[in-house]
Amino acid sequence: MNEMMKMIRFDLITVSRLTVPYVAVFVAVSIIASLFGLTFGILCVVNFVMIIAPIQGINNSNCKRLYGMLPVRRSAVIKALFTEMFVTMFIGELLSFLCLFICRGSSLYKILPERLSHIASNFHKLPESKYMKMYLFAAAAFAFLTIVLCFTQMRSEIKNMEAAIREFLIIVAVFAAVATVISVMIYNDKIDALKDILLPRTSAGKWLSIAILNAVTLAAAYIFCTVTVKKASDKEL
Amino acid sequence: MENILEIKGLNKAYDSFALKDVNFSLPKGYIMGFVGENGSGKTTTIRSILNMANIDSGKISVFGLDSVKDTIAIKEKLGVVFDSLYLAEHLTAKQIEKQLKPFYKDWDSKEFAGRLKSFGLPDNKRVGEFSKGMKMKFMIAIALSHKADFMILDEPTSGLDPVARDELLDILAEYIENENRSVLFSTHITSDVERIADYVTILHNGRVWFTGTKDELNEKYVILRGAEEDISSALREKCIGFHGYRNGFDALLSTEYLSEVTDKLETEKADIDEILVYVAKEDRHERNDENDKV
Repeated sequence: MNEMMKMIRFDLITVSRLTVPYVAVFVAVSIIASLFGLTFGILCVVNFVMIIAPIQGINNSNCKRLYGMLPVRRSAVIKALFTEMFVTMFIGELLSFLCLFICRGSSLYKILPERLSHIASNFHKLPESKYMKMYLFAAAAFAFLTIVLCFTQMRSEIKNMEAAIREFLIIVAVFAAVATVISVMIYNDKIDALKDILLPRTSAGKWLSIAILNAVTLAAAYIFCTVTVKKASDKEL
Repeated sequence: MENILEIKGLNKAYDSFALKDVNFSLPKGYIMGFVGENGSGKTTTIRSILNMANIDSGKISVFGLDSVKDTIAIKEKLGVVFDSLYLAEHLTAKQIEKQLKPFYKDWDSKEFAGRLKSFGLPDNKRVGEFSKGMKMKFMIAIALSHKADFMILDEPTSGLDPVARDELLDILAEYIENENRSVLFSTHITSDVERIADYVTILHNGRVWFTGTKDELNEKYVILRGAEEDISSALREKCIGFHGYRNGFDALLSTEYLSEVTDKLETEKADIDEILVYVAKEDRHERNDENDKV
């Protein structure tokens, strides 16, 4: 087992006790909600990822003294941390896809009370091309969260947690503003070209966009990890 | 004698504090008490040995290996006990063993289980629920389970009741029965040093004030007492931490000047606590003198 794998195992044992109950509850709620065609099942999965990621960060920041005592290189600790973040977020993305898939195939929504059943049926009756957009949105959300979290982790390792949180808030605010403007413009058919790039019309196009999003996220996580290893490996613990 | 730890010309500066030219060594098979007031640089020195602090200059060797280049090899054979538990407090001893085992080639699970039993530590209870004494023993159990030949303890006995302290010191004394092992422990409680240390290093203001065997330290200084008019100005200059009061004075004096002590003055043995107090007083005098000059 190499040093990075040892660190991942170490962190997994540390967080599993804290996070397994939450993960189990959120996954169960998400899947049950999806079975009944309720779209907020997907939101549950997003929430689950948003809860897991900070816990991972907290765990690592508390253990720096321990890492100084273990026979392990600091670079391995950093690489393990970024790998954990990416894999956790990617699992979240896959879970959201699973929920969307279950949602589409299940007819259990019919047994729900009339009002809820009506909401679920609207979602269920969406044409395939529109339904596919949900996958794309889920992938985009996870890509954004992963990139921002990796960036924040990099800044907190290189500088400090306060600076990282400040920058995190600025990025989220700027992104929200830009995304809102673009969404409004797309909705009003002002920028059709951009719409075609961001929301391809065919299923194949959408899957390609999802693959590109994941590749970009992986590349960003790798770059942030490499920069952190270079700048923070010699930092005092 | 082969040294397990050697520190030569260690310098490390922070904004408001610096270690200056720290030199000392610890031979195999001995315990060294590392003492000094708060902020004297004990923890910074320990962090430097562990390569947790980046040193500005100097060289630290542990087991004859370089503390920076060979840090992984050193940590394989090094046990560290801090004043607080550095492990995840929500885990049990068993779960922590699972975490740590892959990091050490020589990890011995039987030894770990045996140590937990002999130290009276439950393996199914969260370590965060352990008392402070139990936490210290748990960290020692970890060090013993990966066959650490050198143990560094930073304030291990602070906050422990006398019974727990006594137990901890007994464990260290037993550990050192193997002549290939050594212990460096920093502490404020100098009675612990008096009890089990073979060597003593006193740090003051980031500098080594004394390093050597405990016996050398005991023989090197005495407390001098008497009336102020009975001490010559030349001898007074040689005193450390001279403290005059209404009925006389007291001060620390190196035994090399004992021949200059007249019959009217009294001397008595100085213990480590007293030495530390006089060193701190001397420092205050120097600062006051400097302020007066300004």
